[in-house]
Amino acid sequence: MVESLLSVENLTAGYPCTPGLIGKRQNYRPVISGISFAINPGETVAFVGPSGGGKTSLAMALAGFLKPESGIIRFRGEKLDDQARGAPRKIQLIFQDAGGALNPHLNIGAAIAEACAKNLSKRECLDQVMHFLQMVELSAELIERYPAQLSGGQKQRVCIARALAAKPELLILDEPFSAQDLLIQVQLTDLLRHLKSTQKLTLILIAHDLLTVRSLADRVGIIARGHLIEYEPTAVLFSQPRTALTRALLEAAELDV
Amino acid sequence: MALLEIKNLTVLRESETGQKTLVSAISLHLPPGAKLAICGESGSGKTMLCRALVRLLPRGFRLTGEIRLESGRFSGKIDHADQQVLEFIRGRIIGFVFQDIPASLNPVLKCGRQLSDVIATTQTLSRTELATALEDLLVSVGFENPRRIMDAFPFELSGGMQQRVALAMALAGKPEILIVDEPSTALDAIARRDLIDLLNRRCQETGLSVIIVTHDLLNVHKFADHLLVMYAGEAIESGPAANLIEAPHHPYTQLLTAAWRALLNNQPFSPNAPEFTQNVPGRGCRFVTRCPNRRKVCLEESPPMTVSAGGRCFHCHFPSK
Amino acid sequence: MKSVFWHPFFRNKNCRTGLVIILPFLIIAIMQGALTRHAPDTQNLSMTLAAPSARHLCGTDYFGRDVFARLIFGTRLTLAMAFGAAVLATLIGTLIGMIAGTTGGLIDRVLMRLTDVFLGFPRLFAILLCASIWHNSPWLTLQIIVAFSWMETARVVHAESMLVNQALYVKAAQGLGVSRFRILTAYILPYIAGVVVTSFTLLIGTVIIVESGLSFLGLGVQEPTASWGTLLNQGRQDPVGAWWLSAFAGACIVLTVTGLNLIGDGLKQLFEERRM
Repeated sequence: MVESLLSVENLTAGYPCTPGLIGKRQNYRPVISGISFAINPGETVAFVGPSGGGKTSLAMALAGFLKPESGIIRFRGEKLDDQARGAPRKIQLIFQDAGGALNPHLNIGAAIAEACAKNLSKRECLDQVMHFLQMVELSAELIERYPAQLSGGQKQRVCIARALAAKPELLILDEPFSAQDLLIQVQLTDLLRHLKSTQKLTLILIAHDLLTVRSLADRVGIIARGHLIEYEPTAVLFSQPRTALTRALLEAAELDV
Repeated sequence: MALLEIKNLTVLRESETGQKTLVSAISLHLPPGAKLAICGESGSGKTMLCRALVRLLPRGFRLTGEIRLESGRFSGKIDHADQQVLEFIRGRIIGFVFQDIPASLNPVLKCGRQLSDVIATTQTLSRTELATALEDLLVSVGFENPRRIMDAFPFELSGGMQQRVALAMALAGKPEILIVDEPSTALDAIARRDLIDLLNRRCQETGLSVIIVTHDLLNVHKFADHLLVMYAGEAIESGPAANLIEAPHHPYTQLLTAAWRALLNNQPFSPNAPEFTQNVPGRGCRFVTRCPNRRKVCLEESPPMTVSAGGRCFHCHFPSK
Repeated sequence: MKSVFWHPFFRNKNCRTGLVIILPFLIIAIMQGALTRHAPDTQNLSMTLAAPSARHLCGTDYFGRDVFARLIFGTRLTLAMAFGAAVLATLIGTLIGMIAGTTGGLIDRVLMRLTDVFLGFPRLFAILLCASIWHNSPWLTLQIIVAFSWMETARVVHAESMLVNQALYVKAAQGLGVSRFRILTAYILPYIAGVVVTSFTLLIGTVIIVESGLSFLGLGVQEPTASWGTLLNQGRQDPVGAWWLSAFAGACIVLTVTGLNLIGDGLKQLFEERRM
């Protein structure tokens, strides 16, 4: 039996509504509740659902940006607690807003270098940066440029390169296809497929449309109103949807066009 | 039932570094009751084109060319019309839904108040008539519980609901032409489908003409009867939507439709065309850097317009087929 | 990147005007003795309280010293003190604001309450009190001014730091394991640089006024050293009759502070535009 890379038990997380005077939370509002699932190494899992359903919050919780209220996240069998400072996290998240995730004051080379190991010489660091740029099929001349000079698709790739430079074991992409033009979506899908096979990555994709993740995902989970209502291999979900929402999402994907 | 005629519309931006053309000599004809989709990538100029139609260009932008509007309530050119004429047309004859929905709704006013303000500007009604009109308007955009929406602030509503409120605002003045800019980028799959269904129903019921700007071919397929494809500010292909998607002539359109088809059929697709950049060549065809069919003449001469059967029109030296 | 700053700077009307106004003062401060043949300390008891004339452009004071020369020599002292005090106060304020804004929790609250306490002091009174106890040392006076000038900067930097700390790119950096120190220097600092520079510019003007006020009351810089404040002080007894003793110094203060405020306003506009 393959040991799962990531296993989540009964995860509940949310945000305080009205923070109290002394800092104690009051009126805490859960955004995700009771989510449990497991992912095996090398798998690609997609979480799909309507807006506001909690998908992004799940991604944030897994990546360590949102402290869960209850539940356990196990990574390689060990509980995932507050991440050690000073070291890149093993679970890297690529935010939906790629431009916002890049420091406008650092050029692309510096941005990617932030993720590289700290004890490298300048030469070694530069080599690493070039290596990761190449991996995401961006030209080396972008090293000197600043985020404002890049297109949306390029910024997204820089974020991916940066995340890869952190040598993660699990990569989460939050709505990577949503804001993009069709051709960029397709190119990104292509890139992810390529990375999956060459880098042996485990991926989690967050999306609101089943169509965009169909070709990449091994398993699909449907998240709505904070709950995980279905979690099946892709083919099974597409051919035998169990819930009404899944059926609605399948219809919206217009697969029979 | 209105008719819109555009001839050689060009939008320029003046800056210290020179002049930049964002929309280049677009001509199109929108008959009454037509459903036109304008397709293109970011940077193709489609949003600028729409804003030029309602004369809502940002500062420093200039338009040349002719826009002619013919409807029951107004007939004439609006490309250089003065402020008064424009204020009459906006909302009453041409409605506009912006791409950035949250920014177009006032966050400190309740939705009911914002909508009734718009209704009141375009029609003179008594208090009770206004309330009824408001409720009817909300129902017509698919809200089952208008009271709840009227009392809510925009931030309390989901993305899909905000979209419908913005649509209601655009339709409040009972316009004859509706321009919708990228309605579905911020929506999830289900909300997108609902919106397109709503637009379809509306067109059927009232004979509204719609121009929808989108980069999603699915929207085109489900909604539009005409399609205009833009690239780097130019119109590169146009014609009946279904026919165009089925059998595109221009290499760029072919790239788009092939990609879309691959997505639908769950097939891998490797477009070996590099990404769109802002640097378009000064002369010759603008698509030349990414075109698989390119030859020497494409660098030097602007591609001619070719009109083919069935109302199809495209600009290419070497269309594939 | 330098030209990214200077070009818009010169294009902005406020900045240009302000610069034009304070430039003469900067030149005076640098050139000092080359501009006048009189020395600021030379007494000439046969010519006390003379009105402005060709020989003494701004007249003479109670000891027959040339007021113009005293003004010239006082410029460097006043400007240097103001600049020095503003630099220190801005540094302290920025540090406190940044640490409070990015740390949060107890440290944030303690530092901000501290800032509030200092702000709550009737500033001039506190400065006067301290200065009257230790009024012999201009350096101590400077320190006291600094001690009561850092709070506005701290407040503003605190607000901006809190804002940028929530930014996505800061979160992303934390996820990548970027050190706390690096985040402060490469992520937070560039963002707040705008408000810091603006705050600094305005603070120079404030300190000039405070220092002048102190010296006016006899508590800051002491005789026979010349500063704009001491010159103001001299004119106290007969402000109308011997108007030239205070008027010129007063005019210098007004002009310089106005110029600095204009530059500060212009900088504020520039940084807000960039933000947009």
